Amino acid sequence: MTSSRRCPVAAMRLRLAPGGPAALKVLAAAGAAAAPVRLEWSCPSELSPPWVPALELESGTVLFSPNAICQFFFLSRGEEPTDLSNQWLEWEVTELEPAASAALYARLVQGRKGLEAVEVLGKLLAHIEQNLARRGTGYLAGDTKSVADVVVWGTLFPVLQDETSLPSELPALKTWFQSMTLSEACRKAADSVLIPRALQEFTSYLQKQPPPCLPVQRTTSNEPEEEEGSERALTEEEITAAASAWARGAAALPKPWQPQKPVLPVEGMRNILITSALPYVNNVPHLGNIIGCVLSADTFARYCRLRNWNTLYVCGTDEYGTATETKALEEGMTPQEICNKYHAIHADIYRWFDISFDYFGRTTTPHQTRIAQDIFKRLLARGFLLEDTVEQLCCESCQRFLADRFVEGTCPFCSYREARGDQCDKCGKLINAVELKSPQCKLCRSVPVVKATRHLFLDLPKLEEQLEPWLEQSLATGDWTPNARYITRSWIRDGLKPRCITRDLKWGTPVPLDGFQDKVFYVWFDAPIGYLSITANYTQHWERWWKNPQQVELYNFMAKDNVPFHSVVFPCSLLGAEDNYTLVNHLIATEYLNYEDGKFSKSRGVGVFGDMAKDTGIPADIWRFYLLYLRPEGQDSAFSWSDLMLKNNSELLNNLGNFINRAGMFVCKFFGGTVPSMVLTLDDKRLLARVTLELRQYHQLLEKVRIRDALRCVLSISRHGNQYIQVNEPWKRIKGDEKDRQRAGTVTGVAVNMAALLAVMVQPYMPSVSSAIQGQLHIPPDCFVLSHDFTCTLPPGHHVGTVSPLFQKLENDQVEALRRRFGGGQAKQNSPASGSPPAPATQVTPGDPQLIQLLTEEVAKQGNHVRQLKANKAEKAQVDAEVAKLLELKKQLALAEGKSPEIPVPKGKSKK
Amino acid sequence: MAGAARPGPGVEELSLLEKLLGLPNGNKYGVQGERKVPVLQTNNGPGLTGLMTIAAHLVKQAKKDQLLGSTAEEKAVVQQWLEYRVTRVNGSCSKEDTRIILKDLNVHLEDKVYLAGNVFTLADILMYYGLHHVMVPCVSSHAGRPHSARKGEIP
Repeated sequence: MTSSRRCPVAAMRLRLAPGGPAALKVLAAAGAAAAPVRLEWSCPSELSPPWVPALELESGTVLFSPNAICQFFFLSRGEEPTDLSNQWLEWEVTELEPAASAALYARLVQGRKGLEAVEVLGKLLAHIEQNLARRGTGYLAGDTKSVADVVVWGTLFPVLQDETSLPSELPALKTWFQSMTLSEACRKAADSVLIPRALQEFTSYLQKQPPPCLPVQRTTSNEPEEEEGSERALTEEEITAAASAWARGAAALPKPWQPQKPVLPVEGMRNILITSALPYVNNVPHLGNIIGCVLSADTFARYCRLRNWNTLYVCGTDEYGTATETKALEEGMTPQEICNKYHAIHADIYRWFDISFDYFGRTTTPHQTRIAQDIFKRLLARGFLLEDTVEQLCCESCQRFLADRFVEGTCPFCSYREARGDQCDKCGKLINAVELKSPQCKLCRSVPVVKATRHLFLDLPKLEEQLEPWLEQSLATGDWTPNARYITRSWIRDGLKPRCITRDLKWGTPVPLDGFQDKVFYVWFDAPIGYLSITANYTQHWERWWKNPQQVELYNFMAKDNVPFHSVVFPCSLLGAEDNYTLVNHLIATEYLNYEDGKFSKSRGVGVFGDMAKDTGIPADIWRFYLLYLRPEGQDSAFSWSDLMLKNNSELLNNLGNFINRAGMFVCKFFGGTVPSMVLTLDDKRLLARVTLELRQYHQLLEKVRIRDALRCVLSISRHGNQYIQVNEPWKRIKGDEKDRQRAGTVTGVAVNMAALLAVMVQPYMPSVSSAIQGQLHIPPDCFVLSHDFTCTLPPGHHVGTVSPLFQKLENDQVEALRRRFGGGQAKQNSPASGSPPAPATQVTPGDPQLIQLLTEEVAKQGNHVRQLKANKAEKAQVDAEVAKLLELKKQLALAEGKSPEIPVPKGKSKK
Repeated sequence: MAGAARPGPGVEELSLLEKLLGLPNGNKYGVQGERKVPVLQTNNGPGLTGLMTIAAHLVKQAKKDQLLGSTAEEKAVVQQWLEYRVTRVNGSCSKEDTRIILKDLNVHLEDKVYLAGNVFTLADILMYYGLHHVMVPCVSSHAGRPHSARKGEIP
C-alpha cells in the first residue's frame, strides 16, 4: 500500500442513531482501525437524507451503508478486502443481519424468550462455527482480526450479549465471540451503545421499525394472524380461573379508596406523587404540550386512583423569568397581572380537558420564595455553590442582559442558523449564549454586546459523586422511559459543568445573599422547586410528600427536552441540600407531537391550541382519546385531522361505542332493563379468560406508564365483545325456543358486564364517557375500582338505566372545515397559484370565517340531532324533514367555504 | 449445498460480466438456497458465494482492479452500491420499492456521472444489470428520472 492511498487523518463526522443496531459495528470498526471520527448522535428523523448511520468524508461524500463504513475504516489504514472478507460481508448483509434483526425484534419488542430468539439464528451460527473450525486461525478471514470479524460480531452482539447464550456445540464460535467481545474496540463500542446494561435503546429503535419479515423462517399456521400476541392459546387453568373469578362477583373487588383531603401519604399504602412539568405561564399550551405533560400525568393519576394507590397529582404555572417580563411589556401590564391573566387561561383549559389535578398552583407565591431560598442557603452552607464573573450578552437598545432564550444566532457546533442561546434545536447541544456566532437580540434584532457580571453556580462536578449512586439506583429500580435514560446518560457522559443559577432580572425569586440582591434565581433552579411550593400551598404538611423518600414514589411527567433538568440538575440541588428530599423514582418523557406535517406554531397560527379545542364542537373526551391514542411514546407522532375523524368513527363509534350501546340495548329491549340470568358455556368462559388476559396486559402496560399501548387493550376487549355478539346473535335467539332465549340471556349478560368493565378501564382516558356508561348501566360506585380479575359486577336482576349512544360520528366536511380553520396539511391547496404574491387570508378562503364556524357547528348539531332521532326510531317523516335541514346546512357551509357543494352550482358562485 | 440445477439470474449476470471483462469462458457456477445465491466453483475449497463477492473476484481475475475503485473512498463507495444492489434491488418486487430505489439513485446521481463519482465502476455494471428490466421503458422515453436514465449511456 502506498501512503498516498490512505485517507487523511482529519476527523470525519460520523452520525449514528441512538439505539440503531448498526451503530455497534461501525463504532467497533472505527476503534479497531483507529479511524479518527467525530461522533454525533442524532435521530433518523432529523437527518436528511434519512440514512443512518452516515459517515461524512472530507470530500463531502457520505457513506450510509454500515458495512461500507466499516470497510472504509479498514481500507484507510491499508487493509484491502479479500475474496473471503468480501464473502463474509455479503453474507452478513444478506443473511445474518435480517435474521439477527428478526431475533432482536422478537425478543425486545415481542417479548420472546432469549433462547427462542437465538434459535432463528441456528443455521447461521452453525455456518460461522464450521468456517472457524475449518480455518483454525481464530478469525473469519485471514490470520488477524479483519473487517469481517467486526461486522459479524457487531450484528451478533445485541442478540447474544455474551457467549453464555451460545449452545456448547459451537465451541469455536464461542471462543471467537468471547475474544471479540473482550477486545478493546468492541468493548468500548458496546459500552457507548449502552449494552448489555439495558437493551432499551435498541427496543425503542426497533419499535419504530416495521417488523422484519423472514419469509423462509415464518412458521405456517392455519389460524388467521391476529394482532400480535393477544391471540395466544388459552390454557385450561386460565379458563377455569377466569370463570371462578367471574363467579365471585362484585364482592371480590377491593373497596375503592377514598382518601381524606388533603391527600397525605399513608403508612402501609403505596403513596404516589405525580407531577407534570410546569407550563410557562405566558403561552397558551398547544395539543403537544397537553399530551406531553398534563394529560399523560392525568391519565396515569386516574389509573393509580382506580388501583387504590394513594395518589397526589400536582402541577401549576411556571411564572417567573424574562419571558413574563417581556410579555408584560408587550401587553402593558405588570408581570404579576400577566401571570394572573394567563394562570386563569391555563386553569380553564385544563379544567375543560378534565385534568384531575389535586392542586393546580403557581410559582409566584411566598412558599416558593421560602423553599427556594432555604434550598439555596443549604447548598451555600455545604459549599456546593461557586461564584464567578461571567460575560453575558447585554442588549444596549433594550437596556437589559439578555436571557438565553432571547438571543438567537448560529450554533457554534453545527452552524444551524436559528440556534437559541441555551440550546441548539438542530444538534441538541447546550450552548453558552456568548459562544453563539453572530448573535442577535430576539426582541429588537440589534447586536448585543458582551458585559461582565457576577453570578452563582451550582457545582455539579462536586455533586456528581452523590448523584451517580442515586441515579444508578433510580434507573435500575424505576420506570424511566428509554429517551429519559438515554438523554441522562449522554449528559453525564459529556461531563457535568458548574451551572449558573442566578440571573440579572427583577421578576423572580430574590437571591438571599449580600452582593446579589439585585439578582434572581434562574428559572431552571427555581421552577422545579415549584413542585414543592405548589404542594406547600395545597397542604401545610407538604414535607410528608417531599421529604419522605421512604414512603413516597415520585413520578415526573414531561416532554423530552425537560429531561436533564429533572434527572440531573434538580436532583443535584436536592441532594446537595441534604434534607432527605424525595427524588424522582420514575421519569416519564414523551417525544414530540407534530401538527399535520409540520410543527405547531403560534405565530403562524398553525395548530390547535388548548383554548381553541373547545370551540371545535368536538367533546373533550374525544380529544383526550385521540391525543392518548397517538401519544408520542417512543417516537414522534403527528396530529392529523383526517386520522382524528377516522379513529373517532372507527374505534370509538364503531368499535367501543357500538359494543357498549348494543350490550345495553339488548338488556333494555329484550329483558326489560334487567340483567338476565346466565348459564356459561365453555365458549363464554374462554371469552372471560380472553378479556382477563387483555385486562392484565392493560395493567402491565399502565404500571410501566405505557399509556398509548394500554389503550389498545381496551379497544381489543370491545372488539372481542363485538365479535361475541356477532357470532351468538342474541337478537335472533331471543325469538327462538327456551334454550335459544336462555342463550340470548347469557350472551347479553356477559356483554353488559364487559361493558361495565370497559367503563372502568376507559376512565383514565375518557372520564366523561366513563361516567356516562356508569349512569346508563347504573354501575354501583363500589365497582369503580380496578382489580386483576374480570368479575360479574352487574348480576342477574340488576336494573340498567336508559341507554343512548356514547359517541357521534365526525363528518368529512366538518373535519375539513376544521382543518382549514387551523391551518397545516392542506394549506398548499388553498394558496393562490404559485408565483403570485401571498394574498390576505380573506381572499384565500372565500366567505367569512365566523360564518364558516357557525355553520360548521350547526351542521354538527343537526347531524347529531338526526342520528339521535334515528337511534330512537322516530317517525320517518320527522327524520326526513330533519335530514333535509341537514343537507341544506351542509350546502350553505360548502358555499361559505368556496367549495362547490354536491349539487352543481353555477361556477361564478365560487370566488376561487 | 451448491446444487448445479437451473442457473439463477445472478449466474446469467456473472456470465455477462465475464464477457464484458474479456475473460475466457471457463468458470463453473451453481446456486445455493432459496434465494438462488450464485456460487463460483473452484478447484480447491468450498468456492465463492454471493454475487458481489464473485463479481469482485472476476474483476481482479481480469486485472481490471480500477473497476473496484482506486482510493479507499472509491472502494468503499463501490462496496456500498454493490451492497445496495444485492440487498435492495435484488429484494425489490413491488412497484413502490422500485419507485423508492429509482428515487434514491436519482438523488445520488444528481451531481455525479457514475455511482462512484467520475469513474465507471463495477457498481455501475451490476446496477445496470439489476435495473435493466425496469429501466428500459424509462430510458427510451427519458421521462421521470433524468439522472438514473443517464445510465443508458453505459457502453
